[in-house]
Amino acid sequence: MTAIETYELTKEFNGLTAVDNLNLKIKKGEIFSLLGPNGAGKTTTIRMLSCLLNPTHGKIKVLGYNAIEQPYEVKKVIGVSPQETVISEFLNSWENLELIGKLHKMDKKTIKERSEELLETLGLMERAKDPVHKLSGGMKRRLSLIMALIHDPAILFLDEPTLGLDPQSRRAIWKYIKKFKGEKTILLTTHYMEEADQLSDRIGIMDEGKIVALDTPEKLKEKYSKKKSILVQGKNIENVKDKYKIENNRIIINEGNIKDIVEHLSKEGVTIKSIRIEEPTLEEVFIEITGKELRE
Amino acid sequence: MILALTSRNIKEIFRNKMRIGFLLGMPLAFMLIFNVAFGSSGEETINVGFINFDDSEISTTFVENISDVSGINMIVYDNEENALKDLKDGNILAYMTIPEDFGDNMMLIWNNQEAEINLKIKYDETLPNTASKFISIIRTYTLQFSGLSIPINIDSDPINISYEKNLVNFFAPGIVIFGLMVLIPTAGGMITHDKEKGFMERILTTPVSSTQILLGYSLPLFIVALIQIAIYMGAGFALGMRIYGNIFLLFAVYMLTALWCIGIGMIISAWAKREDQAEPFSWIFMIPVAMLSGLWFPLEGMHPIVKTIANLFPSTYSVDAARALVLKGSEFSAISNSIYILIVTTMILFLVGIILFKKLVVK
Repeated sequence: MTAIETYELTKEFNGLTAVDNLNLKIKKGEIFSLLGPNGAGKTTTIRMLSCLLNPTHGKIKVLGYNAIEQPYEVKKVIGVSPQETVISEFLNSWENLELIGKLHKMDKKTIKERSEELLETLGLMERAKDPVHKLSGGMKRRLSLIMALIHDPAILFLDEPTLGLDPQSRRAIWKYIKKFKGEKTILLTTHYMEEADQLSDRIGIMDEGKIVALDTPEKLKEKYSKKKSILVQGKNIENVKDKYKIENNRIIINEGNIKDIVEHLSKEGVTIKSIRIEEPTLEEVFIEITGKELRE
Repeated sequence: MILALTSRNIKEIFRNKMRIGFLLGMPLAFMLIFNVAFGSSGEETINVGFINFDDSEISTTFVENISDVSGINMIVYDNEENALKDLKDGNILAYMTIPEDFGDNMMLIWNNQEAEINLKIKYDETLPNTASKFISIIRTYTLQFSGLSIPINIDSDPINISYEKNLVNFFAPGIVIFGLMVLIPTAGGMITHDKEKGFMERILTTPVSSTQILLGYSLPLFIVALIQIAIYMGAGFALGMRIYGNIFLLFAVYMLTALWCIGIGMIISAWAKREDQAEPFSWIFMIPVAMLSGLWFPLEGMHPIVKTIANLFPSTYSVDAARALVLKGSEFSAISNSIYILIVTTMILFLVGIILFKKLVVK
């Protein structure tokens, strides 16, 4: 069951190709992340999917609706949380949620119940009656996020949902997003590796308008990253310098099991102080594929 | 959905102290300017001269009784040369000549016969508000004296102002229309602000049509405009403005003015990317339009090219219609052309606004 599908989706701005023949299939109930550096085309993709931008060519289907020909049908089933914090500054949190609810033709009672639940869950209830321009940056960000959720959409587009948030708020939002696993279809863009790793069922690594790798986080790491590294610190490590790589007073070993390694090192006269196993990271995968580093 | 947006935008306007301060403060500031310019000189006494060429009893009584009127200090002259000399020297601010047939004509009028009375007032052109005050005093007085609402023509020299043209009446329509034109930068700024901050995109991700969105922005501004019009009218009345025509028709002209202003603001907002582009652009547009459409000074006597250009702006028709209602007491038929042009212009502006919004904002 496919929720979102694109066929050769392309967007050009003044001759520059921002999104280049993108073919995506996102399954119902899946959390799909687009990971990529700035300018990779992530936001342009989301804007086209949420009917804010017409593609130069290509097709988009959202829950069976053609996004170019039936934008109103698509808008009824999606919730969009933009990259910037977008709220109405002179309204309070209730009023902001009420506005979006009404634009989605929800009745007053349902809006109230949903708002209550959302404000409570994301810790905004206490300040819900304050004009939002008086809230902290993190609170505004959370409000901006739940404005995309008020009408309980089947599909959520989250463009950098935790950009600029403190680690605590970020984790609270991750926890909340994880609850939707299997329930809602979520497409999120991020350039936080940890975010993509923690939340996604699948990750599409995007670079220069194209998906350059697409798989589950585990498989991506398996496929593109080096194996686990075992880092050993201790005395007399120079005894094994011909056999292993030594960096910053540490022996770096990429193969073999720990028991054999310990035995072998003892034999060579190395006194082991500490052993650490380093798991492969998405960051390595990303650098491997794109040759670029993501800025935090 | 329109109402949801309207309610949001009303809150955004009224809770934003800067914005509401500007929108309602502008009419209040104008009211103060009105006051300083045309009001408050009530207690001062002005020196005026009288030359009576009529030796009838009626004219003698007429002149004698004027000396009892508060606000003017009467100096009687035998001939016009002396009066003119004193006017030039600044000893008097105006003088009035009473023609020799004054008494006879007054008698005829009292006997229900046709006659024309011409009072000539010469005044210092550099002090128009003094002249206006003097003219209105004479007007009131002549009406009291004759006891009838018969027209007594006052030929004023050098600008030839007929008695109904008191300055408040002449300037008020232009001031109100300029005040309402502030809706152009406000409408333009509000929509562009929401575009710039991404709020428009947020609205556009919901199932709302462009027309609904734009009406949701126009309606609150129209409500603000109604308050503004009420303030202006109140201020005008407080300062002695007299509307000779139908006040509801005048209200309608002002409402149409508010609507075309909102329409222009809408069009500007479709182009402008940032609020700091929309607002200055609106002002750059507004000032010359205000100048050219006779808001501050009459277009009569201007170069024909200027008049042709003026006819391109809706403000010209707003001012014409409003001034005709205030000054001349015109009937609907006399200003219907202006009103129809305003209605059609408003509809075109809204239509263009919606089309541009669809094209440039909803991509």
